[in-house]
Amino acid sequence: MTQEQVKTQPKSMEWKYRLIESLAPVLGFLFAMVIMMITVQFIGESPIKALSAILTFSFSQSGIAYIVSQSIPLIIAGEANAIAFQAGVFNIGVEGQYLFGALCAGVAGAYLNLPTYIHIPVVILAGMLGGMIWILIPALLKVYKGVHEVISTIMMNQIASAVILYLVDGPFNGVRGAKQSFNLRTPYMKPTAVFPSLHNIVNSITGLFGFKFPHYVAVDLSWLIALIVVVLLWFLLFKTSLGLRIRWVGQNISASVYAGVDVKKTLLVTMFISGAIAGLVGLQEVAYISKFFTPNITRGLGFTGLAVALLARNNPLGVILSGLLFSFLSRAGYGLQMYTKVPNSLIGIISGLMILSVVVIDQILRRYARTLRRREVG
Amino acid sequence: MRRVDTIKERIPLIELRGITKSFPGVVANDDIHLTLYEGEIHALVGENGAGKTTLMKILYGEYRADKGEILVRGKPVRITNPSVAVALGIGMVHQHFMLVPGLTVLENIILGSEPVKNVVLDLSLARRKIEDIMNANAMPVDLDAYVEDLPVGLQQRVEILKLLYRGAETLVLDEPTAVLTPQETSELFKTLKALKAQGRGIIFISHKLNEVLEIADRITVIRRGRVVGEMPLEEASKEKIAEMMVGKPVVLEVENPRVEVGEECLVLKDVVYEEYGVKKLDGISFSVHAGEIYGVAGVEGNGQEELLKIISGEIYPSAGEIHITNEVVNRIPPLGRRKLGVGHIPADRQAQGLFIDMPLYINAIVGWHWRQEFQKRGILDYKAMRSTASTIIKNFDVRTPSVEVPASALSGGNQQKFVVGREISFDPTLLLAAYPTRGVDVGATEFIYKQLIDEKIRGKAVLLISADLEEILALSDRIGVLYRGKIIKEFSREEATPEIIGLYMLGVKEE
Repeated sequence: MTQEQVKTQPKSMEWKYRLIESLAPVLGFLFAMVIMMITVQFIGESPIKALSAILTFSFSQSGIAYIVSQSIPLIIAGEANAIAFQAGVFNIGVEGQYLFGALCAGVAGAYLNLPTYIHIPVVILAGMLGGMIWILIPALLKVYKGVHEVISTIMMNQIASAVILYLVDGPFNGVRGAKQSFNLRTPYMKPTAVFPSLHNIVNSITGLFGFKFPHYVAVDLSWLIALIVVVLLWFLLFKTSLGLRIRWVGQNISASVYAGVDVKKTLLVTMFISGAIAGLVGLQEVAYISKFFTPNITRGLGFTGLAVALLARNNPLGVILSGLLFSFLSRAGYGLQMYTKVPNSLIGIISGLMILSVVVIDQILRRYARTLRRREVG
Repeated sequence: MRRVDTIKERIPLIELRGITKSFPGVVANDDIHLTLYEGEIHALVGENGAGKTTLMKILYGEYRADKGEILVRGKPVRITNPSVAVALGIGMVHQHFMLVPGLTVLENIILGSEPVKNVVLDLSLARRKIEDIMNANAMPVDLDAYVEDLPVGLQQRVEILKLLYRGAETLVLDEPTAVLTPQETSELFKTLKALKAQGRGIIFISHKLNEVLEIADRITVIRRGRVVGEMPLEEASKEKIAEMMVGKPVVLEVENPRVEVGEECLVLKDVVYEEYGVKKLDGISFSVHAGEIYGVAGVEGNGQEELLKIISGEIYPSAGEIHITNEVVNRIPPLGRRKLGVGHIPADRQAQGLFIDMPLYINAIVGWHWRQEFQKRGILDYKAMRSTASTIIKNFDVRTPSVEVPASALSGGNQQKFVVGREISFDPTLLLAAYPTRGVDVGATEFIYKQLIDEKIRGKAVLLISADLEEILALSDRIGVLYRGKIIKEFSREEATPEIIGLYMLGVKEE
């Protein structure tokens, strides 16, 4: 009788519930945009004008190119956070991990003499290793001493800021004699370590759709790295036994213990993966754009990465979209600032509002879908 | 008798009328009436899962009743959340204390209703007020001590002080003695008697009959969500309450033949488990053979949880030996034991047995995910997982639209059938079944009984832990009574009667 039920009751209802559940980011985005337009009206600017400023500034050729290129570090930071979230770990320390990872990569690129096909992988590995080193202490403290990772990783962020300043001012100073601290940097990377440009390859593909990335926008090896990270992480989480165990630990620790999962080991492994990915965040800037490491490197990508992961609900594929969205938002902020009297900081508020509404709407929709399912089961 | 009569003329402090509350698949409270007068200690007695805590959570505003009303001093009230309850003079001490360990006693007591003088916290006023309360009730605590440094008995005293500081007239204590030493218990009782003398009403939840008879003025017995009896202390006796709690066995129509037993699949030898100096398991020895169901009877809290964890491998024994299929497994973690063929129906299917938001095809392999058929070189085989889930659904009559839905979409009974089905499907040598029919309707209960008996007939060893004596009697070939961390008596099925087992369970009789 039950087998008949399985057969006769169409599976098709389930995709409907899944669709309902996955609407949250879209609705959250729309809700945030509506609020933004209302706010713009209050500021005394025309919402239509603001919208057109955003659209023309963002969806020009260079606008699109910038949005895509600048989404790369956001996507990688989003993945670092997403894998940690999947195991129920709040890795607030992506910030510190990518700073230290970027320094390690810069140093490996500047001081080693290797043929290019070895040097570039070594630079990448150095970045990952740096990220892993920076999560080592919080990971051990969490697993063996029960210290909450939020506290320890925030502290490690502060330490990272100080340590990179010390190291670049001291042993790895590339501008001896330079007195001004804003010039502080490591020596230039060897040409063998610099990331190759992928302009030709990417443009030959996008050219088919009539789009070319201009030469002044970074299209480099870090694109490929981001792509590989996304695919590997998706594969790990949803196709492998380890990934399943990671998601179990993130959902319910006592059920994981019951199932025989080694929770401590799983947490350690997850945190190391997260740290390794975090170590890749700064590579575009260090190994392609500036070709050295400086303490003035773009900051805050780790924290934006938290938001990117949240918006994507920690799905590695969703992170691509939400990374692009956050990149678009930052571009939109400049557009507003340039063409209207709306301050750039409004975009920060909108981003926050968007995350908040996604989280709330997500819960509401999940409950709604659950009720619908219950009704169907009877 | 006279005393009771005079009390009854007064308006009760609290009156619960026809409280009904159901959760998906279970009726936790069914038309419950309860009254509490000033200057009275009213004991609420019943087994775990009988509905005592649910009822008190309704009174305290943590749950909303589906039906029924609450009257405070004769006036109907709507208690929508705990702060409403506090404003009405109702206070509750939970089983697990709600204290902030890193704050001092004083800070904990005033937390939430801090006295303020010109925007500034007036600690000295609070201190004086609390000292008055402590003196009046003879319950001294060092106000500047940190809560984390206090023994459990004093922490509980802080909880009570918290309620008195907020002016509670009705105090609800949920199994207050479960965590206390005998000395601390007698201290607590002194306090409770003092509070009663001041005219406060106390609801005392417990299943320890000695204590109930010592402290209560009136006793209400709850069983399966219904009030089965209310009596003044004068009419109460241990035997009477025990019978009410356990109930007259309704023999479920299950055929349970004896089969020839094989070798010992599970052996415990003088197993001790100590936690913070307390012996939760105190020299347990018993064995379960292939082809038999061994039932562990006992009032919850006598070591069932630890017994289960120590066999499944979540905790390791402090002393003694555990053998599973002739291997010593003392230090082998849960996964290693599962690989020896241990199936485990957990005590709490939602918190332990299932990943509630994940689809059934994933839940179908929880605990068995390590098996060859589900992964090739670490890559999951979703096809095998789906077909396993379908098999479980088919063989164990789980009502679900498909294997794609999350476990949370199923009703409690179907969730339980799914878990039972999963654990049996992988053909375990030893099956641990903890409260296998808790919160499950009669139909599903009978079905699960049949499955467990079939396992036995197939020559498996089954260890059954349950608070439900009927269940133990219906299924077990041998019965051990767990009391205070020990198996104090073993019965064969033929010798066992609910009356005699009930007496051992409650510690009335001891060998």
